Amino acid sequence: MLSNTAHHTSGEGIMHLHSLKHCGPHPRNLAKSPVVAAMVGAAMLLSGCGGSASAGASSRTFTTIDENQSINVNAPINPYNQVANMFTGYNKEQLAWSKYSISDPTAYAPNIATSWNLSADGHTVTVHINPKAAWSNGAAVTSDDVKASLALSIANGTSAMTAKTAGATTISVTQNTDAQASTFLSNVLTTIVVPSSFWNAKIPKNFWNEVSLETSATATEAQKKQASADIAAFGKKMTSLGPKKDISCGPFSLTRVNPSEAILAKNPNFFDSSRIAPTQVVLKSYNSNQQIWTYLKSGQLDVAPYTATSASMLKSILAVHGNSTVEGVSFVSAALAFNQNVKPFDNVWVRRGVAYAINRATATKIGESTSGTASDTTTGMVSKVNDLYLKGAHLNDYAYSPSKAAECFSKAGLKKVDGIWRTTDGKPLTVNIQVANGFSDWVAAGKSITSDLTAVGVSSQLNTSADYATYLSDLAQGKFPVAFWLAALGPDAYNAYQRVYGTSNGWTASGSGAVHSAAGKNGNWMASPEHEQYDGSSIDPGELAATLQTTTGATKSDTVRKLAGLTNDQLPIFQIWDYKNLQFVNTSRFSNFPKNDSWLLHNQPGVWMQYGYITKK
Amino acid sequence: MRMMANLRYLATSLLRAFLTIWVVCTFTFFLIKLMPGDPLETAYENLLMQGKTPQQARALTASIYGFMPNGSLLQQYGDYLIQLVHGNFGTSITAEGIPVSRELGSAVSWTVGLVLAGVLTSAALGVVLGVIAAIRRDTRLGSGLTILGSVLHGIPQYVMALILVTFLTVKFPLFSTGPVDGTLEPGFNAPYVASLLSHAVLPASAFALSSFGGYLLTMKSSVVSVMGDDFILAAEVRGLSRRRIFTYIAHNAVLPLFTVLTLSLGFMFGGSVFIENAFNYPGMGQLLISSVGQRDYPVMNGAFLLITVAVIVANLLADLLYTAIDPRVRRGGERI
Repeated sequence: MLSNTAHHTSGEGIMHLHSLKHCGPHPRNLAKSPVVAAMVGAAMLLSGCGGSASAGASSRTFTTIDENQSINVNAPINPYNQVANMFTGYNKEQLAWSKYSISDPTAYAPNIATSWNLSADGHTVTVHINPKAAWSNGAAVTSDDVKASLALSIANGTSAMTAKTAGATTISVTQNTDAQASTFLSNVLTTIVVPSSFWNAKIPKNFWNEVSLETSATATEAQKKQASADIAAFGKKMTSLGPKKDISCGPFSLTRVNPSEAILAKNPNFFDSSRIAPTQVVLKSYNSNQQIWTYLKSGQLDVAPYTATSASMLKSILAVHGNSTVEGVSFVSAALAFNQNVKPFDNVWVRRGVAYAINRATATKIGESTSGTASDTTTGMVSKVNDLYLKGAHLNDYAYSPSKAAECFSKAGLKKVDGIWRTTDGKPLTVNIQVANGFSDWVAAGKSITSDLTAVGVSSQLNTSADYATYLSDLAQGKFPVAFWLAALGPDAYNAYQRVYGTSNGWTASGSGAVHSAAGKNGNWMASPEHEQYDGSSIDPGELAATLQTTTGATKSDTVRKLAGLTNDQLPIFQIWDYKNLQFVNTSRFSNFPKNDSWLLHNQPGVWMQYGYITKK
Repeated sequence: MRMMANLRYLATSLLRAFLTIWVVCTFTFFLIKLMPGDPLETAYENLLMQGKTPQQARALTASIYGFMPNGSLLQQYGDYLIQLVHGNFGTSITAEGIPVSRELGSAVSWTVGLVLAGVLTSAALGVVLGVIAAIRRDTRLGSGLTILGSVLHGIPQYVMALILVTFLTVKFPLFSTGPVDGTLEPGFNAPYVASLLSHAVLPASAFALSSFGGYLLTMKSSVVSVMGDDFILAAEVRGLSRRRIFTYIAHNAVLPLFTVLTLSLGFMFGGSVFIENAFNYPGMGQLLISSVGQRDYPVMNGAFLLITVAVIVANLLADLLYTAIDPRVRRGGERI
């Protein structure tokens, strides 16, 4: 779980509306209307009868929100529906939980799967199922359930696999493609376990034959195409299906959903139910950061995920009895991305000059003072990952320096006339920065950045796209010369460098390499050159970044160092701050929350409970 | 003769209504498709934020693609019209496979009750206080009510909502946000109904408080205008009771508000974005905002169509009922 889902979703299907403005109380008198007074009086009486989830419910009710899953009364209980009434860690269980380790992408904590063995060639994994794992209806979780789960996963786009059960609690899974071992293992272990008692009847009888046919060396192209189409058709059909009543192998099962809350009751058949302290979980819906702040300020939430929060709002939240924070590593960085198809941003000295002109510390303080740390430098990865790969590397930190900015602009051939930097054709150097409406930290930081640039003689203003969808669409069309961009999405270096040398920069994964598209084609808006000179040789950064999917050990480290060095030198992006995974906990009703930097903070509180955290006070 | 004229008028009105609905429907269909933004790209970025690899995110968004309408724009429009004729609004893109009609039905059920309560309360409040303000216009009470109406009319809905949320759910938590206490067993039972009502108080109050000022000022102006009419003077000269005179005034003064009220009832299907957002109320406003943000075209089309039909029907009803309420309005060339 990255820290920024609350920042950006809509996810929940839901778009967060960000606001740094703290709408504090305005002292006004409400209209003295007898009708309103009567309504208020009646409501006060009624509210005593009605109660609320947090006030009137059992003291062992755990209240939180799930930033990755919206609540929709019409949604099926189906893990592959975008708005499904299944919540990770509560009634949606994986075979294992990722530890989000920087150094070991194969680090998983056991869950429904107690152990697993990966073959030497990385093509087969044998999974051992916890013999105590059981569904909420009392039936045991078996290898048949895991096989059905893999079928659904494949139908929804996971790479083809072959699954063979070997007894009730063992299943062997072999990949049909040639993916890297860690990717294959991730695909298997993050499979969401569903009950075969419901799903086997829905999976077509010839499904596994089709899966084999799709990647078969002997099948004709027509057969493969038909098989793919059939699998996709099943994938589409099944997303709207789901059992009428929740059958959960997690610590909770869904009992009721209404538009504002999903109520889950403790599953007594969960294999480790003795560790689970709450008897009920209430997942509240929300539509904006404002809503989450309201919940926090009224002390309703026992845990809240990362939520963009201003310093003053944080103070108000922490003033509430029991509220505190826990902090973990976030693998997300806020950066400026340059469109090198727009002059003069194709000139590296201009990009370097812009970098030196920006005071990252100030921009971070203004934009993300509560959950951001100014980036040490630009490498394409967050500082924590830099520490792992780049010890001893000589990198330019681009520390704020207007004089160095001036030097760089001069080297770019620009001339300063009457205090304004001008390009060779006499036009003022203009660096307009694009942000998306609703991203209040970007907006605030953007204003600071434009001020910095103006101060050194660069014409700069902040432009705002109507919403995130419009922003992404216009960005992909190359409409913005400079724009905010979320980078360094890790923890794996492969994911991080796909943000810099992936589709947005012209490289599309193909087999174990990458194919480059020209600027403006196939989503290439960053438009870096296909080959760059670095350290005395010409490298194709996209090809190099693609190899990170299959390389390990020293080869991988070497590749990362090259890419980090190239990114630092050529600045296709310029990192401003690394986000912090700042979450809120309330210790009024429960105690024993994970400590700072725990791997559990990347997972939902339901997972915390499974590892013995969140105990009754 | 009069009946024929009325029937002719009704038929013409219905035809005009259908034509208007079709035009708006077509316009919004194409306008929505012209909106920049792509639901796949937004979903893809969201999945990356959740820790999925680019390949996993692409694979998962492919499932959304299965629900995207395909074919040329004209083909999609043709398919859309054919489906509409069969009463099918399509399926949501982002809530894959869920019929749009079900999504709209859920949202409308929350919106109608809330906004209806708000509209009726604000109208009742506005009418009563407007009359008082008119009759006592030369007193402090009248002036005070006029100022109150002006001030409240100037307060935007979202400000009113935020004031109520801040004071009554945070500072002094007498109420909760959301539509109902989810821990209660849904159904027609006292605790559930009480919870529904108590949760509706604040949003309905926000609605009423931010809109009754307009009704008050309009009613006051209308009453003052009617009070100056000759027939009122004649009634006073004839020595009719104050009660009877007041009835004449009220009957005539309320006519302008009738049209406004009827149209408000039509617009209520659009919900109130700000109020629903502030109180986390799952109505049409919220659904519209989220569908626009996620570019869920079928839901947007369905929502706009529903609002259009509601407003047009309300307008039609207002026209038809007006003839019943106001005997001065005639069709077919009759004159008083």
